[in-house]
Amino acid sequence: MKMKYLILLTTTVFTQSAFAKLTGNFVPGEILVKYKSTMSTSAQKNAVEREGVTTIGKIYKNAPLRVKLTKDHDMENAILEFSNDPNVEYAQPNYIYHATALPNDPRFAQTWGLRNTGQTIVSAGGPNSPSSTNNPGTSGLDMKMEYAWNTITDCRSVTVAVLDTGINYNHQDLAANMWADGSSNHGYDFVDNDSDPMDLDGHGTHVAGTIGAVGNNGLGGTGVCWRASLMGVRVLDTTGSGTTAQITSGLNYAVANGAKVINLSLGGGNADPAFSAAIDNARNNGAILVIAAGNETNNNDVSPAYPCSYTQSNIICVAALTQTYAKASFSNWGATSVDVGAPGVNIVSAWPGTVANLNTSMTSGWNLATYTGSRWDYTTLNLTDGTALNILAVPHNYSFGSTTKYASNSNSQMWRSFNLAGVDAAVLNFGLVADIQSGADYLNIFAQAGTSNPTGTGVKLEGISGSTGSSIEDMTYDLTAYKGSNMSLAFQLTSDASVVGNGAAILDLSLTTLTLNNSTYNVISGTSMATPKVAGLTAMIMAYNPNYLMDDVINSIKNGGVNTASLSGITTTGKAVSGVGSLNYIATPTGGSAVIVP
Amino acid sequence: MKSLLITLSALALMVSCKPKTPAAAAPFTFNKPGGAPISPTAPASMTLFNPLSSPSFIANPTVTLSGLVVGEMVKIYRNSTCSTLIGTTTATATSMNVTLSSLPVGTHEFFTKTTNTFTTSACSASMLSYQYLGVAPQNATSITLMAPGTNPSADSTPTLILAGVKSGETSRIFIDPACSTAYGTGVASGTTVTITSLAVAIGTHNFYVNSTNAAGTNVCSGALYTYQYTGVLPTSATNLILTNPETSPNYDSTPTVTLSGVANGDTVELFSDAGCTTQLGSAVADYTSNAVITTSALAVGAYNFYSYSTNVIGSSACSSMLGSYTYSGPPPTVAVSWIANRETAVNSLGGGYRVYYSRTNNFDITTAPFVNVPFVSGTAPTTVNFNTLMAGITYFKVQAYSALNAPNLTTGSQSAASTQFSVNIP
Repeated sequence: MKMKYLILLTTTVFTQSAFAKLTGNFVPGEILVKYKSTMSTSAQKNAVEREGVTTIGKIYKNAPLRVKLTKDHDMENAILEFSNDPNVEYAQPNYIYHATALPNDPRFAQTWGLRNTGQTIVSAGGPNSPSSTNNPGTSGLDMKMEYAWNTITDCRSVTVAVLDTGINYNHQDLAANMWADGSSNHGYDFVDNDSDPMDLDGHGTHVAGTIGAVGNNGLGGTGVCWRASLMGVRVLDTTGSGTTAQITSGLNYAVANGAKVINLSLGGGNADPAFSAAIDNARNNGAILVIAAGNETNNNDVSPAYPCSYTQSNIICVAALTQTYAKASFSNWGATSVDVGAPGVNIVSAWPGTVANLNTSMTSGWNLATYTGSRWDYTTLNLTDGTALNILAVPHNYSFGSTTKYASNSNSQMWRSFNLAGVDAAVLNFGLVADIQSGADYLNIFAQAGTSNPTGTGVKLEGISGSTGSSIEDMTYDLTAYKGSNMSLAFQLTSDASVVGNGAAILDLSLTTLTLNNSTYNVISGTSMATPKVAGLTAMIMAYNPNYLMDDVINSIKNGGVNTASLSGITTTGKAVSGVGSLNYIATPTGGSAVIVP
Repeated sequence: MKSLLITLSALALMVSCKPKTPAAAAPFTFNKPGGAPISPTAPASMTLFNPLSSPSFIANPTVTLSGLVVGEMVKIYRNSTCSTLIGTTTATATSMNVTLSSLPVGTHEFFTKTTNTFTTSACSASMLSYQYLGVAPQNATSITLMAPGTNPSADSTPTLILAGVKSGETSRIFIDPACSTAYGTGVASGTTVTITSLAVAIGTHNFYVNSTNAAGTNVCSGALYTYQYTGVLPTSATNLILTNPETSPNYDSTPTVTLSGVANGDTVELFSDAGCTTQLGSAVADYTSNAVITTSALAVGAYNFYSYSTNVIGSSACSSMLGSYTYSGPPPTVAVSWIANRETAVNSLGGGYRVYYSRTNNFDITTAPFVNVPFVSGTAPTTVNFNTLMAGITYFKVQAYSALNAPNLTTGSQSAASTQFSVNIP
């Protein structure tokens, strides 16, 4: 079973301003005392003076009094004494707040999910562009992180595993926040089965940046946590796909290596006992899984989407919100299966490098001369919407749905070479419409290093037989193995002497390369992008409350959110997550008892 | 056309060369080059002269206008368009009183227009607001004693006849000149009303009245009748109830009891023996004929209560036993505990718990007393002892609160109240 990350390729970026930060310091010799509102202000003043201390400043009704202690008063004792007065609602230090800066990272101003000022999200310079829908959004609809940051920005005590396409652990906004094992590895690669979880796609790096891009370092953007411990666990390959074995191995690795928060911005499988067992293992070890709801505009209660739809108690499933806090049009939902919403559209974050598309012309450059029987040729495919697409097809007079057939006993080849020097990854994508005699005739795809025809001599990427019907099948192949020099790619149609089919059409062929660097950013959308917002907050809540149990953390995330109309009735909580809300959430005391002391 | 222009120019020249006429003397003076007339001067203020304040029962109040210019006429209106005239005066001084024509019941705004030799001002802004309540209720003009037959008397509750009242209106009697505490009330039938006073204390009392109708309540009258209550030998209390605590046996060494059946102003003493020799406390009875006494500290044991009363005439006999109370000793210690919250913000300076308690089942914490259990060090305590709870059921709820402030939240940083739990002290 293969899983895929949950991303919508749209686009985006961040700035700075001022806010008050609670340092934990307080005015020496001064406390605040709040009396019950039934007490007159003069009675309050008298009560304070009876304690041998005085009030400072004007006394306002229903507001705490500033009380100046004498040098003989110990502050903590004074707080205790006032707190024990039944007329006193509370007594506390007069904390000092300092005017300080929001993180000085230049892209912070574009991170609307953390602080929505009604900004317009623009391209971050990466391969994708932002959606114009609900862009700009509504000021104030965000995770209220600036208030949470008054209390905590450092989540390094909690390791967050990103089970994804890997992480560019050298990125300028991530390197300082990477987890490392005893051998300085930043995680594990269950695709290539080595200790190098480098991201050759982008999705995982983007997710990691949302959780914990270094804050206030003057570079790039800011994660939910300014400081974090990010474990890269590569379970999705360069094409964004992974298997149950890879993902469950990744889960078990993360748990075994101490991860307490695991981000799973992926989905696509069915109910899977192996996957479920790995989730159980995580739960038994106190690890919380934050999982994307999915991008199919589905009700997960009706059409379960795994792993979101697993029912273990250590799962938080996340829907995506727009800049106006509407549910993102693509986002899945579920009144019993999706828990909370978080910003997931036009999210700016780190990207592992620059992306380029090699020349993959559909009208020239291919070697078409090697064939017997039918031959490949440049032609067009007319779609039902009236568009005509340039395609490469066999037979040369291919016409979808017509009676035209490829010839029996054909060996039709087309190939060309590409230069992959200097790139770190390459992925082949194309659309396929095929009607090939099943089990007898084949469309074979070959690749090999060099510039010669790889048909028969190169690695056979796949042999395709059968029909795609009237739909276009998306085909993706990882060509990273051929990076560093020239490589060639071939399509071969072979047929036997029996009945034949319509043929095959290749359309929208692209060869996308990634060249790693440490300073690229991108703007994309998806429940994949909403999920790490919650994963970061989960780590923050754990870091601030080291005595919290797993259920406590989940309760604070769910109950500390903000009621949001677009999520009401379609999620278990109806809430969008809130940084300050979860940090300030206090569980209702339990286990109360009163007994007469013998 | 050209010739016509020449003619007109010449005519203009002629006009300009005409000898100037000296400015005419009064009454026509113009103080502006443009020839605008001198504007009349609006009154500087309008204040109530009679009555001195609003609202009032006077339909045609007198107002004082100040800042007037002698010779100018001021008209007073009760609408903002100055169309409903209610008073006029021509100033002979800078301040004038004007009695207005009768107003309908309601609240009125007064406006003015001023006229001088040349012109009349625009309608002013509202200068005064006045509420006419309507016809005043009719206070009694005299009081006569209906019972007892003599004055002075030993009757503390004299019955009085108020005369000069208006049928249907409510009269009240008082013994203070501010008419603050009513001693009786009655509705007039015809021009009199009969009212029996509440018990008055021994001494001489002046009676005052006021009346109330739909328009309001009249002012307090002057003293209309003087009555002297000579007093009688007091009677002992006839009943006693435990007020605090309400049950016995209990753990309060200084219980509070309420004795009833005594006369207003009598001193009521509480004893623990049938001979009324061991005094536990005393109080002066109020006009409700009750006396509330908190005892002196009792030793552990059972007590029967007796009482006698004293006034200026003398003392009553010692009563029979009125009630009893058993002091069981100091209250038991009740340990209240709960499971610790794990939030750092609860277990930090400024955080902690609040334990609310009440004798009422399913009580509301917003009005209940509570004990703070603040964090001191380590983790916030999760127990607190109560040493003042009386016998019976006491209910508790626990709330945790945070050391963090809660910016940008509609709720404060505290938990919801816990599920209620209780203890039953025998």
